[in-house]
Amino acid sequence: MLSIQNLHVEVGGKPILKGLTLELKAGEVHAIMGPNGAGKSTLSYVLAGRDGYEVKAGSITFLGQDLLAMDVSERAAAGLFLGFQYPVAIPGVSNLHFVRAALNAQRKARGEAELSAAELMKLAREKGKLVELPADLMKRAVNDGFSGGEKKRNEIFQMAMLEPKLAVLDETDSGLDIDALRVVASGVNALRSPERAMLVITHYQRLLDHIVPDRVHVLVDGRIVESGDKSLALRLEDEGYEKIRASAAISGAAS
Amino acid sequence: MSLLDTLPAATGDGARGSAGSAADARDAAIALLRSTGLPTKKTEAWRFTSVRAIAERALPVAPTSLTPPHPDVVRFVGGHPVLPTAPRSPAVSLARVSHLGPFGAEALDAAHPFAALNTALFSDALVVKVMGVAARPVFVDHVAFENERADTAAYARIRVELAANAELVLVERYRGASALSDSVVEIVLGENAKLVHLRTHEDEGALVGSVFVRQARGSRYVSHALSFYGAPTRLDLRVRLEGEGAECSLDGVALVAGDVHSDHHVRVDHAAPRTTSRMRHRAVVSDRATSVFDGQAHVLPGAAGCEAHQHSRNLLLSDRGTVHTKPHLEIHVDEVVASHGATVGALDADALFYLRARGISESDAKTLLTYAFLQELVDAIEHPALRTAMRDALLSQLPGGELVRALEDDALDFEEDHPTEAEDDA
Ligand SMILES: Nc1ncnc2c1ncn2[C@@H]1O[C@H](COP(=O)(O)OP(=O)(O)OP(=O)(O)O)[C@@H](O)[C@H]1O
Ligand SMILES: [Mg+2]
Repeated sequence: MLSIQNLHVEVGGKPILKGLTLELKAGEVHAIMGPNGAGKSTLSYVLAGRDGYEVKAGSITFLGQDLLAMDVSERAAAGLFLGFQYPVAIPGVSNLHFVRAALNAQRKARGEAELSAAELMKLAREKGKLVELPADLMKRAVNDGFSGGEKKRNEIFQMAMLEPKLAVLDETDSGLDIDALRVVASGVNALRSPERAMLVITHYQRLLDHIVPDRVHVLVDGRIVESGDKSLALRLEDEGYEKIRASAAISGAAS
Repeated sequence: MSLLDTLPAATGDGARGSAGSAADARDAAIALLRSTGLPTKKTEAWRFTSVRAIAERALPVAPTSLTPPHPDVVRFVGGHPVLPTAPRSPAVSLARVSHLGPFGAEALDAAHPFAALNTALFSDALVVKVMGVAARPVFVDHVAFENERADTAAYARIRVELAANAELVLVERYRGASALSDSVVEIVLGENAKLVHLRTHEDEGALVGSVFVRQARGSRYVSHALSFYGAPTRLDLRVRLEGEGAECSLDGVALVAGDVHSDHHVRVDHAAPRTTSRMRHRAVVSDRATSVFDGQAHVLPGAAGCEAHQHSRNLLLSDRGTVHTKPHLEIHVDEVVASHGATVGALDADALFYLRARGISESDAKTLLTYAFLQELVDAIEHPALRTAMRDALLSQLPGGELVRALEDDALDFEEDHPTEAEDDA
């Protein structure tokens, strides 16, 4: 599904990702953990195609296509979804109009028929129930005046509407209360399927109790320094990043 | 050659007298123009808007033509009014008058050169009198007589009088008019009267329009002016709040691209206590276009307890476009609630990326955000049909505007849990 090879990325002339390699197969859920500033969000933005992230070396293949050659909206139409760490407020654009424009743009790009208003509403009701997104939040301007938790819920609502093949969720759990965490997790789990993959960026093992990952990767200073099964997350929770950092520094010096 | 060459000789010695009779008003206007001339870029109020290309042409007044009347719409053809044939609301009377009567006083007081030119040269005026609550809007279309458009000037003149407690919606469209369209609208609102005034400037020629409003106690004037064409478009809107508690709300939108130049000069004088003015201007500037906004509120001595707001927001979509914006306030009393501000900026890059990351193309994302920037002023139009018309006029000028229309028109029904709406699932 997704293959990242030796990815080097600079932001504003500063190297952030320094040879990151990651393989993600259909049906899998991988978690990425790592200290603040390690480059987790940078990875998510490079995947989505944001301006200002300069790929110096390496490649990204998504469903057999060269992802880096694709435009931002093409990537979305091809099935990539980014759940933002900081969802953006868009005053003046209603949430439902936004989702509708997005869904129909993607369908059009894939050569599928657009959804009618009735079909869209049916879907929105269904998915809105799934993530318990109140109707008034659907009608309001995108994320405008939403609380932190409401914004994150809205990300999952959008994901559920768009049914991507690969969802990259950047700290979707941050700022959520315990109930919201459960809701968001069940929204994510509902989307798990053999055809889909997910890359879940988080700081907390807690989320991984709800969304059980197939693999856990530790990203430190622009590289994956350790990978393992879900027990790695538990170990990190206990030990913190110090030990891993130290051994990464040794192996980094050796290589 | 000069546009002033088209002025007639003075009709008498009215130039020095007060504007009492028709001839006096014309003479006073002619005298004003002969002494001050047309504005140049040295004239403070015209610093950013050059009228040289017009002032240097002796454009003759458009001839009258035999245009069949429209059933419901007042048409100004080359500046000459043609009244509609259909019966109208008993509260409204429309008349075409060839004499000036007390006209011109407001326009001359303001010493506005193009208003004076209109006073000197208009033929017939439209007089709208409203005695009660008008059931339907009065529509006024300013158009050119087919063959005359290139080389003539149109001088449309309108006077609107609302009696106490009367209400009217006036919808003016300026489209495809002459080389120069120089219009003057004078509005007098009686106590507690309410006028909603929509204007769209869709004219490809030069358009210079003046609106003079006088408001009595408790009256409301609500203006929505939308410019997206013109070479240049200049609107002068001046409101005098003369009676206690009078209110005006003045919204302006300029959506300009190519070489288009739009200039909105808005001035409110608070001459009575507890009067309120709200100005909101939004400009979207692409290519080499220019938007000028000058918004002034003057709170005059004795006008205590007033409220005055001027806000200008500008979206600059090109680095070759120009925005001049100057909201300002002059206060001669202590007790005033006031705010003013101006912003100039590009589209929000984060918002653009967010939309694109959801699959919306870059151009559609720009359209959505641009319309979102203007939407507040469209939504402020109370009358639904007019709101839609105004929106459509705007969207027709916005690249990719069909997207917004498609999203909005095919209404999404959210109230799914409401038992009375259950049948919409069928
Ligand atoms: N525009 C920029 N200019 C310079 N440095 C930047 C820019 N954007 C990000 N960085 C830097 O890149 C590094 C990685 O940032 P990133 O947001 O990817 O970290 P993160 O792993 O997501 O951290 P967190 O856990 O705090 O969200 C940080 O040191 C950050 O300061
Ligand atoms: Mg981050």
